[in-house]
Formats: sequence, C-alpha cells, structure tokens
Amino acid sequence: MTQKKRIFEVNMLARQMVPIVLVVMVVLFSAFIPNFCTVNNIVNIFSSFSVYGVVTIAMAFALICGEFDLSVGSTMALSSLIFATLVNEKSFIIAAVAALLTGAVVGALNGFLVSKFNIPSFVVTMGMQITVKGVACLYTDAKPVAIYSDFCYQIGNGTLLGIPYLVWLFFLILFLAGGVLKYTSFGRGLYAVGGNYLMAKNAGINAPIYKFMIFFILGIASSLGGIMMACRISAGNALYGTDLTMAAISANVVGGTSTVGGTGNIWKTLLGLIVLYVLYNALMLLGIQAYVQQLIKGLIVIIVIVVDGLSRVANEN
Amino acid sequence: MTEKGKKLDIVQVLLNYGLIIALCIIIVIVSISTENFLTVRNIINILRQVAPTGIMALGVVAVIVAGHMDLSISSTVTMSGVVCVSYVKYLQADVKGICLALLTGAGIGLLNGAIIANITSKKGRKGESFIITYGMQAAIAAAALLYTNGIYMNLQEKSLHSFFGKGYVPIIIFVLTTVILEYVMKCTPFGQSIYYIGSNEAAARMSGINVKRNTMIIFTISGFFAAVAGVVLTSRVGAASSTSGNGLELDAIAAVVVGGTALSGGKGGVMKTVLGVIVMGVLSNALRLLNIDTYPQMMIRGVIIILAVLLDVFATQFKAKGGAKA
Repeated sequence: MTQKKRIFEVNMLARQMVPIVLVVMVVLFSAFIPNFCTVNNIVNIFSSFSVYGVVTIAMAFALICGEFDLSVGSTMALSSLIFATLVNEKSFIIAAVAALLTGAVVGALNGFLVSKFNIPSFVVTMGMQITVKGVACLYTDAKPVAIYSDFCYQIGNGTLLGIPYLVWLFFLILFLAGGVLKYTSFGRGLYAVGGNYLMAKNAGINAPIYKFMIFFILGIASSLGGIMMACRISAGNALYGTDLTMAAISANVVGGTSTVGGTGNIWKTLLGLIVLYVLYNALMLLGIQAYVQQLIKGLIVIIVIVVDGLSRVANEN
Repeated sequence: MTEKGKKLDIVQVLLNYGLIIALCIIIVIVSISTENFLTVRNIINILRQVAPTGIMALGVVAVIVAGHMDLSISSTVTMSGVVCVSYVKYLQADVKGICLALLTGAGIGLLNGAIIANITSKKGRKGESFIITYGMQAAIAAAALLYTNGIYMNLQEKSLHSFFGKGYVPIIIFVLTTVILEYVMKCTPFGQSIYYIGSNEAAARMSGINVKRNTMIIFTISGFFAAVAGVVLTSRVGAASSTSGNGLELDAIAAVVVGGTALSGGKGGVMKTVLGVIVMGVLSNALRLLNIDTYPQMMIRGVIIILAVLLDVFATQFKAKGGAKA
C-alpha cells in the first residue's frame, strides 16, 4: 500500500515535472537575469521558435503516430531556395505555391514508401534527407539566394499588435493542429494507429492512409517553415534546417510526447518548445560559451527521457 | 507447375542476391568506362577508405540486430580521436593515448547501455534508444569541442599511432573486427541471444536471457569499435578535430541497412554489413572515378539507400508468399 502510494507520488512528480521546471526556471531567471522578464525578450523567445515550431507541431503528429522524419531539414532548405528564386522572378503567390508543392511531393514520396512497403521511416527519411539535400545543393550550386522583395521582408519581420506575423502564424497553426487532433476522426485515429498499428487496422481504421498523411503533412509543414525562414532572413539557403529534425523531436520529447507513439498532444509540444527556448534564451543572456550551451542541450534531452523512463519502469513493477 | 516453380526460383535468386548482382553490375560498368577502377591499387584504396566507417558499422550491427539504435557513434569517433591525438601530439604517449581513446569509447557505450537498459520497460518499448543516443551525440560532440577548444590538431612526426593508418593496417583491423564480431554473433550463446532480443524481447526475457546485461554489452561493443574507428581515422588523416566524426553515424547505419539488416531487429548480421560497406565504398569510388559532381553523388547515394531497402522488402515479401503457396 505504502509502496503503491510512493509510486503514485513519483508518477505525479514525473508527470508534472516539466511545468514545474518551467515555473522554477522563469522565476529564477526573472530574479537573476536583468533583461529576462521584459516584453521585448518574451516576444523574442516566441519568435525564436516560430519557424522551427511549425515543423515541431507536424513532428508531434508523426510521433503520436509512432513515426518520425529525418528529411524535414533538407525539405526546408530546398523549399526556401525554390521560394527565393521564384519570388525574385515571379510573384509571391507562385513562389509560395511552388515551395509548398515541393514539400508536398517529398512528403508524399516518404509517405508512399513507408505506408506501402512498410519500410522503417528511419531508412526512408534518411535516404530522402540525403537525396533532397543533394537536389537543394545542385539547384543553386549550394549558394544562398537573396530575396529583394519588400513584401517578404515585411512578412518575416513585421509585427501586428507588437507581435511578429510569424508568431501569429505559428499560433494559428498550433490551434488548427490542436483542433484537428482533438475534434476530428483523423486526429483520434492517429492515437489509435500509433498506440497499436495492428489493432487499429483490425478495428477498421485505414492505417496506411494515416501513415501517408503524416508524412504529407510533415512535408508541407517543412516547406512552410522554409518560406517563413526565407522571409525572415530575406534569403534562401541550402544550409537551413540542418538541426531541424533533432530540434523538433527533442522539443516534443521534452514536452512529454513519447517517441514510441500513441501519446502526446499539442499543448505538450508547446510546453516543450517554451521550456527549451526559455532555457536557450537564458543561456544566451548569461553569456555562456556556445560549447557549454550545446552540452546542456544534449544533457536535457537525456535527463528528460531518463526521468520519464524510470517513472514508467517504477510504475510497472 | 515445374516451369512456374523454376520462374519462382529465378525471381527468388534475383531478389536474394540482388545486392551482389548490383555490385557486379556497378563493377562491370565502371571497369569498362574507366581505366583505373579494376586495379589492385584502387581496390586497396577503396578498402582503406571504407575501413573506419566499416569498423563503426560492424560495431553498431549488434545494437541494430537487438532492435535498438546508436546515433552517438559519430561523436564517439570524434571524442576518441581527439583524446588519442592530444596524447600523441603533446605528450608523445601513444600507447596511453590509444588505450585512453578505446576506454573513452567503451565508457560512452557503457553509459548509453546502462541508461537504455534501465529505462527499457518490460513491455518492450525500444524507441528511446534513438533519442537517448541522439542526446548523447550532442553532449559528447560538445564535450569534444570543450576538450579541444575547437582547435584542429595535426600530427607531423611518425609514431606508433601513425602505424594504424599506414598501408594495409586499416584493412587488417577491418578484417579482424569482422572475424571477431562474426564469431561473437554466430557462434556464441551471447550472439544468439541478441537475435532473440531483437525479434521478441519479452519472450527472450521470459526464457531466461539477461536482457539488461546484454543490452549494456552491445552498446559497449558499439562504443568500443567507434573508438577503434576514431583511432584508425585520425591515424590515416594524421589529424583530429572536434568535427572529424560528424555525419559518419548515418554513413555507418546506411551501410548496415543497405547490407540487409532490418532496423526492426532480429534480422541481419556481420557478413551482410560487410557487403553493405563494400557496396557503399565501391559506389562512392565509382562515382568519383566517373567524374560525377558532389551533389549528384549525394542524390545517388540517397536513392541507393532507399532502393536497397526496397529490394530487401520485396525479397522478404516474395519469400513469405512462396512459403504460403508451398
């Protein structure tokens, strides 16, 4: 009885750990870092993850479904280049549509290979990552492409009510994704497919379509990220998104979404993003050496998984 | 009936030995179109080039057969390389440096294994090894940067350490690694238990296999051989930097996968991986000899990885169908 109680407490603590850590972090940082708790800095934190955040949301769909995608970074790079070259020659609309189509094609290919042939997504998306990166480098000979459109600059850097357009866009997509996950049969089916693929299939869910759709969504989200990145920096570059896959997966994992599927929701994803980027922001404000920052980024992911895993193992015994 | 049986046989052979056939086709095409491909010098060159990645790939085979993943090997290569070269360069202590490098690798592997073995629950949730070893990769890469302060260390004088990259030595180490790991995986109870763990961890645990201990051992093996690869690599290049291993983990895993080891675990092995390593090595050498630019080379490599796995999937499906008919 007492042991059961203890496990219950451990479990509660583990489940609430991330919000508690966030609150503690925010209080400590506000107390000890002079410029942390200013409106400017808070807006800054949100705009620092708005681009990667869009892909992180799509990655949450994939993780819930028990898959992940290593090719998002390359897709982002390729679509930023396609967007940049076309926006200079043609119009914004044509460029955006072409970039989104690029992502859709890459995503559809990934989805087709994974859902049709049951190949592990690691292999398919690893191959696709290398291939698409090759295409992106070949397309402009690995040179960045500057954007001369003022409209793009406005989208990337303008604000509405003091909040950048990109942050508005991020929250729009966040709420949209939250709605899809919670209120549509597609969203609820994702949990079923991720929780137990065979059982979902036997229950009459068209599981392969779900697998296809998540890669399709990931492709479109990465190219949207590519457009946002290109607008923000006013250039397309083959080097965008090099660490995107891992950033997107770690934000989800830190928020409490498991990499094995069946669990997670959009608020956990948002929580993970905020925790990580608040921490990065604080490390930057404290002027900590870049290498140490990277060390801390790696350790955080390990610590979160270990605490989560230990609590689950304790729960089972 | 017999004709149909024969037809089935031909397709089966084509699918089963598809990779070897593809390798032969590549070799024939390239030997016809370039002069320097099928020379002893070039073949030895290929083997020397694939040795470090090959050693990494062989080390990670057991991990993949057990259904886990190890992404930290690239940083292990970097870390062991800078540890080794720092001792060789500044203290002239080759033996100590190499031993410390190997210990570092085994230590990182053991740490990975200890974490993963202790949080893998009884219901067989394995997805964590991917993200844990990713975190380890980032952390160790940062540790290597801190250790070297980002400085590129090159070696001028010949020493014991430079022996490991000279002439046939990398190839010999690669072959030795193959022999040892093939023996361990095929001829020892431990090796067999890895296949059981990979195909059904719960059943393996119930039949008395010490899953926790074996998981720790396979990650230690993976870390150790990544360190061996680090020593060979730094010795061949004659230098070490805090980025020398970057991206090598995907090359190694790609070789394992192309060879026909399934990421879902329980299937594959050391000799298949050797084949995968050789195919990837021959391919990149052939592309270079054919004067193909870097970026199309990347595209071709990516497509080949996907095609090789597709071939494997077709072979398995075909076998399953044939079995059902019989």
